Amino acid sequence: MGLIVLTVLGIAYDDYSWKRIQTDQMVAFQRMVGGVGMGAISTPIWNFINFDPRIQPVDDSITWPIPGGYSYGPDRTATVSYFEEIPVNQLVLEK
Amino acid sequence: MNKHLNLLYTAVENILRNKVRSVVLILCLIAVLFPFVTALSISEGIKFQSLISVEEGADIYVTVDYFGSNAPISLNHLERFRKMDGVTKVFPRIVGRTYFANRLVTIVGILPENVPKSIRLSQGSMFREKGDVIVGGGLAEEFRLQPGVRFSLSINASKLLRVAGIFDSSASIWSANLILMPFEDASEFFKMKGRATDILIYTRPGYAPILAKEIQEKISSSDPEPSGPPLRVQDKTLIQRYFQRGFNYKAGVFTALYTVAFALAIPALLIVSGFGQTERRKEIGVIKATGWQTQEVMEMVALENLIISLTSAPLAILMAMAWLKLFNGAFIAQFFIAEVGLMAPFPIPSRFLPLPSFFAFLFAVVLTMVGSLYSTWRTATIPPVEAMR
Repeated sequence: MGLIVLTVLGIAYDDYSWKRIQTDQMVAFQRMVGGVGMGAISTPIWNFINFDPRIQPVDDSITWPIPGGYSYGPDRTATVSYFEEIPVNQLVLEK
Repeated sequence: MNKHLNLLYTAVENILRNKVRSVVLILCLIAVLFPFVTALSISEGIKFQSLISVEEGADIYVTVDYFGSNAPISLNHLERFRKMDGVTKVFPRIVGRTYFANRLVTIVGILPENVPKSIRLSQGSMFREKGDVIVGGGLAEEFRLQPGVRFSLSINASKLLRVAGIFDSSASIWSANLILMPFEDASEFFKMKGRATDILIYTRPGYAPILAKEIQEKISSSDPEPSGPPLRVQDKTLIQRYFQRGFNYKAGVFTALYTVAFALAIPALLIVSGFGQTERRKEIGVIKATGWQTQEVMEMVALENLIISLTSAPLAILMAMAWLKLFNGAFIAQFFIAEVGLMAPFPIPSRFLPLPSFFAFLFAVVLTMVGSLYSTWRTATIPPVEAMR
């Protein structure tokens, strides 16, 4: 019973702390840089798409080291986010 | 009611009597649940920070499309965007990457007037003179950078830079390995005068989709460089789609993989929970011989499992909480956030929400129930003499 109460209190405190701490600095930083970073990667080691798809929405890692081959990007493996290119319809049919 | 309470007391007694079996079962469940809870809480923490990045970012991002990839945009577009109806603010930005010694860093160049007064640095101050930069906390820690240190990077060795300040590590995970400098300095550093990586447009509420369409269709066709490539326009709606898909898809894949792992854990737990099975068979035989019904035996075992689950799931959550909050996810954070190393140079964002915690408990219940109810039922339905043999 004590464990359950402790867990519920822990979750409640965590939720409370997320609502009140640090957000001001996060907001100030993001406002200043115009929004940088979205994915679970601290530096764009392979390409920008998983770091921030706004900066490079195209996954160009498939063009190297083996053109058209498998991407060896570490951000493709166990991170908790993954961004893939969103297709944009560019087809215009002429009658 | 009394009967159920008595069964509950008997279940507690059974757990306490079979200490080794109970401890092994709880440890196995914690080993299965701990990574699950950790990954989902880190995912939620990063999602929270990403949401701030999306909400506080621009309404429209404009770049140039070179052979299908983003490319630098001419600053000649700035005035045209400023004149558009519904636009409140327009500024250019440079985002690039380079190596600082052997560490890959993100370079961001912004207009100095965009720096808010509320920004807090752990050391030093914002840009004061040409060449001043603000470096991320992770970078400063790794290379022992202090305000006043001057350096240049081989991409443009003639450009001398000076550390003016160091970001507070609470700013965001993406500030850890970042170098922020004034836009002009970034242009000189990358030798891309008159160009930006993207132009950021802020609009009045509701104007963004219309303006994005207008920029894409009209401005692209009346480009100041008519023979130049087309513009690529991304508005906030598209960014939000990236955000939703990026996290939901991955969380979905993760949960699916974990469901498979759980399914595989069931036979393992079946073996583990059968630890002392001979003794358990005899016990069931004895209590059946003394007049217990099969349904009462099943209820007692179900209650045992419930107590085990109610112990192991909160323990897994509390351990994940302690590891992430007190030890900053040492050694395990790198499995869920790429490029952080064994000890992350920034506070690992982790958010414990009720739903994933409930799922952890649910998984524990399913695992223990599936692992023991069938074997108990089989033992309880055979003649007591045979069970006691």
